[in-house]
Amino acid sequence: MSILRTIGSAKAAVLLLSATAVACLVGTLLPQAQANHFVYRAAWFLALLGALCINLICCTLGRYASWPNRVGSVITHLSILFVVAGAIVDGVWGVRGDVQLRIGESMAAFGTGAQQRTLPFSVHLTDFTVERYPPTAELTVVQTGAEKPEKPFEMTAGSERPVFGAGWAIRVDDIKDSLGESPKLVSAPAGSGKLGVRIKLGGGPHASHEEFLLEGEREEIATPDHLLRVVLRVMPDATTRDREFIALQPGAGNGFVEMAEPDGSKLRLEARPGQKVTTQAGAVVEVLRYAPHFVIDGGAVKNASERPVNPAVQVRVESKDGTKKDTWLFAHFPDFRRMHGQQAGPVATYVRPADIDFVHQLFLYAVHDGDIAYAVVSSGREDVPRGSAVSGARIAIAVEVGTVEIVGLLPQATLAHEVAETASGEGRPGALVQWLKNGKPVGQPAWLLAGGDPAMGPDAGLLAAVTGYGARVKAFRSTVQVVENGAVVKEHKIEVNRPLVYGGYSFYQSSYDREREKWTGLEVARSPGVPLVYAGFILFVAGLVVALYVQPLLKRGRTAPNEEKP
Amino acid sequence: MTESVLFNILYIAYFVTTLFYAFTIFTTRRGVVLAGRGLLLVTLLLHTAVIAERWGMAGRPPMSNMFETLVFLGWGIALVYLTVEIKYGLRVLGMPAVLAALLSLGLATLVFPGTIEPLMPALQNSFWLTTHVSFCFFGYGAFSIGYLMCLLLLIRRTDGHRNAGCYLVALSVTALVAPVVMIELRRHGVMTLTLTVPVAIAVTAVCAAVAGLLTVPVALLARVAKLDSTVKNPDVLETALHRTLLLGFLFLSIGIVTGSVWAQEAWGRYWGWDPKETWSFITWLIYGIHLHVRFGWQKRGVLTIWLAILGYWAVVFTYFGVNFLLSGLHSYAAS
Repeated sequence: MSILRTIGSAKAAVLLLSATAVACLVGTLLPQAQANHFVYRAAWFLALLGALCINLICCTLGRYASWPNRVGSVITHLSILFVVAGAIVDGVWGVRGDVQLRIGESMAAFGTGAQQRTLPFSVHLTDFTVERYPPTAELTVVQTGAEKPEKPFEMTAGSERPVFGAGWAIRVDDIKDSLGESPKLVSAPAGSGKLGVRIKLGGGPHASHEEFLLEGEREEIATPDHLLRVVLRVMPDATTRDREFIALQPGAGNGFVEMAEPDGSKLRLEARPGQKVTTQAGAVVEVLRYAPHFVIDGGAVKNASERPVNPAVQVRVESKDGTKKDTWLFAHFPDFRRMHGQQAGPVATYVRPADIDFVHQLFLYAVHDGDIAYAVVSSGREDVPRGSAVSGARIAIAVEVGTVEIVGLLPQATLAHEVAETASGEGRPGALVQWLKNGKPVGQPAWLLAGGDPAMGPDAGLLAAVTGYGARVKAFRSTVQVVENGAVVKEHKIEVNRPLVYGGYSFYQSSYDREREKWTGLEVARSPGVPLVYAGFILFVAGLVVALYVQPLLKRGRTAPNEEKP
Repeated sequence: MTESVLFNILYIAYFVTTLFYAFTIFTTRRGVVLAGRGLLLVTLLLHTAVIAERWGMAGRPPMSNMFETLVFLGWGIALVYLTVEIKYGLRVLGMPAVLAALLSLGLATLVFPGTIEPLMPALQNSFWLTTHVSFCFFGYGAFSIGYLMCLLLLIRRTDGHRNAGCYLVALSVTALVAPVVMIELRRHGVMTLTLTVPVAIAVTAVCAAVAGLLTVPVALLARVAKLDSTVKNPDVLETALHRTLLLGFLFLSIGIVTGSVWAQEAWGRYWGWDPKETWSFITWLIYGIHLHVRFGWQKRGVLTIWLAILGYWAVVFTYFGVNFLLSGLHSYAAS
């Protein structure tokens, strides 16, 4: 009984609550992902919450004799156990993942980070719309030295407005709701520019689109799915180019195996099969196998795909005395060997810079006054297709990626920012304005974007700027059909506050394609603990109300007649 | 709303009510007491009308950004104070309480844009928006009154020999004022990110000095004017404090619970440890600790007062600090 009292004492409760508060405070100072990992989901934090629950149970059990007088308090305390139980149920049996769907697509499985989950039904997206509020934009004209700016005015295309007298006026030639500034490659005067290459990606999973590379500014681009990277390397002369170009071998980009020599120097060899090196101690280190997606399937090592999900190399170390030892090294788990107690022999690590996790890489080696030599390095391929590219050349990369077309070579190029309408409504409103003096245009018309730089007037310290917001999102609507056994069993319009609930799963609107509004992102969750959590919530509030307001009322009712007696 | 006639009348009403309470602070005459109460009631009704007007203009509950919630907070403070005055007397709290409501309105109009902005999709659920925000801000209103009671209790502890109470009051006021001053400076671009730490210390020091200079004479004046004479039973203040904090705790709990259910509805997770959620949890824990110290541990006096003050700092940080200093899902509130 006394142990119960100690563990369940108010002092212990205060101590544990304070520790929890401090832990949470520390958590909010960390970036969210780190806070989740090091605080909220860490074992010590969960242990702290567990200790609080034990304290709570002991406290409540230890004072069972006084329960009738403390109904509210007991309910409130026990309700917390419901919430915790719900959270545990969700932690153990809950499932959470997300899926991206285009109109017309169906899903019957979703990724939960580590694995795929299959649903007992499928969800078909029939429509996806983004509803937006109208954008707001006003034009303001300021004159340096003037007491106050001209009153902001609403713009209409074609309208002309005199400003600050003296014959000055500003004319709005065009208005667009959603504009964006995108960098563009343009020719530069001789001697001032850098080497630029315009390319076009096509035939793969992404819609065909143009890209560009620019020496010193934008030397590589990559597709968001990590399938392809295009690298531009500008070489000082043809000799250097040829030397570097020959060195591009299969496996280039796999990274390196590094070993520390006794004198502190480092031995390096490329992580591709067949590479060999002899250490200072006379041992021979050889790369046996390379697996970008290392898995163990049925006791055997397998390479599950060519995507660098878990890159690994198998290394053989043959000592002077002829003993051989084979070890797998993992790029993502450098401590694996040490963890598994394999400390004998020289310690080798597999170093793989994070930025080379691509399946296909197209290297463009250029010199300033010549053509481009290209090489395609693909993970899992023994050969390296090479060639020389001129404008109009089409380089086949792989079936799943398509081709890269060299649209044009600009020996003297620079970046220009081009204002263009965006594919989605995500951009900013803007106006094409023209300054006028006595009715005659002065200078060139220029686009002004809301929140962007103001446009300098041609004279008199005039400045014009557009203020306002783009069309903000009002609602996302994903219209879906639930298909089970070949029949549509449910139709639902998913919105942010209106999830689809079916078969124990809930589908929430969580993201969307900001660039083109082509796909919708749904969060799929099964939270079996929610009823418990909600029950806890209701009991907590009910208990508190009983303890604070109902019990005192009853007590007063009970004691009132007693007070009358004496 | 800032251009509304009602809003300007409300300003004047609060100003007049504050002055009335200030000049009749130690009065116990029934007529004067009732007159003040009536004045406050009219002001409160006017405040309700202002909120209703904006509700009508916006076509949605006006509870979505700093401006709207500050106006709502002022309403909560005034409402809770009126309830406390009717139940416990404690008229001496009237001037600071009504002034706090006025300051809340002032902060809203002076610092934040009052334009009606469209709602982002997650907030477009009038039922949860209204219940969640109302309960949170009723709770904040109760905690604000509780905080004023704490300051009063600290001033009461000041006697002729030591002014420790005054300094403690000054310190606790500083902790609230300094961040607001810093946010203001930062908004005007005076404070850049690289300067934050040294400037923060300097600003805090200046605020502490000003608060100290102001609090000491107030406390001395209160003593000369025999503050205690307005509170007949000294225990009444402490009882009122704890009842008010319990009310705040209940409202905050309901606010967190409704927020959690709403998050489950909108995002599919009832708790995600985002900074706003975590800080409301920290606030809840501190007031929870206060309850356990007071009712479990059976302690009274300075420790419980300081826990309540600490709790209020957490309230203020949850409301302002998280919006401006930490990022998270609730970031839309910082406008």
